[in-house]
Amino acid sequence: MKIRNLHVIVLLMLIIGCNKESLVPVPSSGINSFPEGTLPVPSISKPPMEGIYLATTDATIFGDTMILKWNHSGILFTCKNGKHFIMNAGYLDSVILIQGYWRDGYSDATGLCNMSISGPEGGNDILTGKPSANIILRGAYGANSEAPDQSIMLQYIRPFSQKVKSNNFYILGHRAGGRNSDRLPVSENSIAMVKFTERLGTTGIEVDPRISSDGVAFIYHDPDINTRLTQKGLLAGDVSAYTWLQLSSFVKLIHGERIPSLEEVLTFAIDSTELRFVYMDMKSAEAVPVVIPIQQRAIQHAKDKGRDIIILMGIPGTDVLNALMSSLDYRNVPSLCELTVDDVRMVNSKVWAPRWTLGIQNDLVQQMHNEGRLAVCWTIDSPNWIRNYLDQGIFDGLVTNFPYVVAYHHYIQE
Amino acid sequence: MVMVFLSVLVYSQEGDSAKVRLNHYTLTIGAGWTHYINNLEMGGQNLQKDYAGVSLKFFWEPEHRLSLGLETGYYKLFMAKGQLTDNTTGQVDRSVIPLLFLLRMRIIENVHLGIGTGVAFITNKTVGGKQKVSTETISLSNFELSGAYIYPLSKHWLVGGEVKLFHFGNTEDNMYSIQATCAVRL
Amino acid sequence: MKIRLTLYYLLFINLLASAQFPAPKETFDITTHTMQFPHHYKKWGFQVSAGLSMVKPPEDLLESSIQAPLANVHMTFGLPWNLSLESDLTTIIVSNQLRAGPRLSFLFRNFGIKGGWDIACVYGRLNQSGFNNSTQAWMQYPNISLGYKLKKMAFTLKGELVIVGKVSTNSGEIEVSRSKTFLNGGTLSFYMEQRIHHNKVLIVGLKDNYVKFYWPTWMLFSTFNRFYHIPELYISWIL
Repeated sequence: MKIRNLHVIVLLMLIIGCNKESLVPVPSSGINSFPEGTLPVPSISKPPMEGIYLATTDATIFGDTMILKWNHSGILFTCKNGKHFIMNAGYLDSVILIQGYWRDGYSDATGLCNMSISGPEGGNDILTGKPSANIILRGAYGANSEAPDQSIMLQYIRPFSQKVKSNNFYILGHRAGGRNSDRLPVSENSIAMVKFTERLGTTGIEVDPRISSDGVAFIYHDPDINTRLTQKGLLAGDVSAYTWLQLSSFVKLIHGERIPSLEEVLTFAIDSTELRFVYMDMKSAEAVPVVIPIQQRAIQHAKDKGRDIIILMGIPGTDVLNALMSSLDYRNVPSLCELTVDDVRMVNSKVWAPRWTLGIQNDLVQQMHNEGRLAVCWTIDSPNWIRNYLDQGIFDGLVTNFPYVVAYHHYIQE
Repeated sequence: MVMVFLSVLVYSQEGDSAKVRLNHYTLTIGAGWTHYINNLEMGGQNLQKDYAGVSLKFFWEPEHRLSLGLETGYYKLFMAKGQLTDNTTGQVDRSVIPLLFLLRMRIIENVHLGIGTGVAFITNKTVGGKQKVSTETISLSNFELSGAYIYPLSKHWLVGGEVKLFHFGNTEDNMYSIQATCAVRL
Repeated sequence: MKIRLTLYYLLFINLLASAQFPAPKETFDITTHTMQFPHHYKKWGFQVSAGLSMVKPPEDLLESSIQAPLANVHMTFGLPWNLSLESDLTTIIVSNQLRAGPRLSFLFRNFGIKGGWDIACVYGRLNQSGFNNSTQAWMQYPNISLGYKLKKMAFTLKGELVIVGKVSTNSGEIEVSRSKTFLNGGTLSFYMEQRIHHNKVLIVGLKDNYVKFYWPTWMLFSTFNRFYHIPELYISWIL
């Protein structure tokens, strides 16, 4: 009998091992469930709400302080420890209603949350666009999809510092804004991610261009079609061996989106977001001559729309560097170089992007600044190091998988 | 499951040396029916899942219950033809050549259970979207479970049947195969 | 009722069948030839097994994990008073773990039980895409094994907790991440040991690691803080 039980355990182990890792459920009932008659928060009301808040009740899991920052689609509250709130807001009479969900970026913890600002506790001032020092958010949060039952109260401490407001710092989301392994509700390197990523606090994105066998540039991270990135389908093997029609017809990303072309991504970023930086991390040297005209068209399109957005060709290695240098007028191709500062100067890159483990390198970054270039580093995820780089470094931006952590440490600076 | 373990319990008390078993090698060929277990999330309609497959195994069979071996073979996993998605027609087929290390255990006279692991070479051929594309993928995390009945016809010749379940890790494909086998004991 | 009758029938058929093969006298007893099965290990006796583990990593870890079998050498050294020492070296070249610890074993007829506590050191180094990464970790494995043996076959179920004392990952000169003591999860393994050739024994095992930090994939640990089921198929030859 015991042996039979052992056999059952062994079989169960096999079955468990074959299971796909489950996704973190996004508690959907928290969004768009405002009472009837709720109106969107007017633009003039957003700046007075932004700032540093003190968590004054028992919500210790979120830490002592939170940042409230509006984005293109809603509000991000972000905490020191990687927990963050993705919220929508509206107002009814003089009350500002805020609803959504929270997540822990470093684990699978999540839950619903709702808060409000009553008229006397800041709502009246905010709705007329006046700054108020006495904003209090009261509400509750819960676990998973259960109704929120733990009280939370946030008290406004101060607005963002002048240093933060005057600093054009770029928070760059990796893989169009977030990785699949962080179990976000949309797929990495998708249009849906470009749309979603601002909710995580990003102000720019890194994307991964490749080309299809018939010369269409698309974004996709891995060299092969696999179940980490795509729904299990008919195609397998080298993704660049397929035609664009085959890829767009037969492949769906993990959450059901199509693989987007580079042109679609750039157009969407320009037209439908407030993103200010696109870093095209070239995955193949062959893609360089294909990407250059797409980049030029996108820059022109942004100029026509009056959009303040930097669109750069990333140079991660010498193969891409050589491919770029073999094109005519390569010094005028807006680029971001991950190699040495000498390479940056050689191809006249606008941005130098060393990997973060090379250190803060303030002297070299300062040289880049003196030459009118920017410097960003990639891909930094550890909270302690993010804080360290923001406190001691002079980079103009960071590429990260945890933009809400960078946002916290950036916006809290005095 | 109960049957297997009762058998193990009972027969393990039997002397393995009751019939003198010698240390020897066998070469086995198998051929039969294969069935792809359709777990496609996209394009799984119009799928041909049943094919013929062949296998070749080389075993070292020491005097006791366990044997060690190598297995290869050729299996077509599936073919999809016709309307593959809402707006695309074409043809896709996937085949695999596994190269697996096998461990086999005789649980009762002539009946064996086996497990295997190793590499697999997966070929995907696509015709559609105005082009024909063939890709090769090397899958490193693959597993096999098998059960076999092997009947000795003579000192050197054996025939039997085998059921195998394969998992190919890189593409997350699963298939089973039922094969008739013929072995020569060297 | 029907199922029970069927079981009795199958048992009867088996017993009947076995009766047709009268067992000759044979002196072999699996007990002293095993390494996983809990028993009184021969005082000052030394055993070594060498084998491989095939791992199926979860998709989150697939991107950068090295997909190759883990090579393993396992050693036992018998001591007085039912004590023994076990040591285990596992490597995938870029990740290596050496663990060792005492065991106290008891054998009651066909049943065995042993408990122990291992200390492990993990060292890894990987030079990839310009990142000169390395890791060092200290871990502890309190463990208990329950065994049941037949004459020529032994089964062992082993459970262990995995406690991480410290994990430190460096990239070049920078310490990328450092984690101090935490309960990392546990493992559950099932081993079967039996003769393969002459009196040499082969161990076949299935192991489920339910852990946050899976040491062969140390390069990814700093940004993942969740439990994963990671199965291993283990085959080892007692030399």
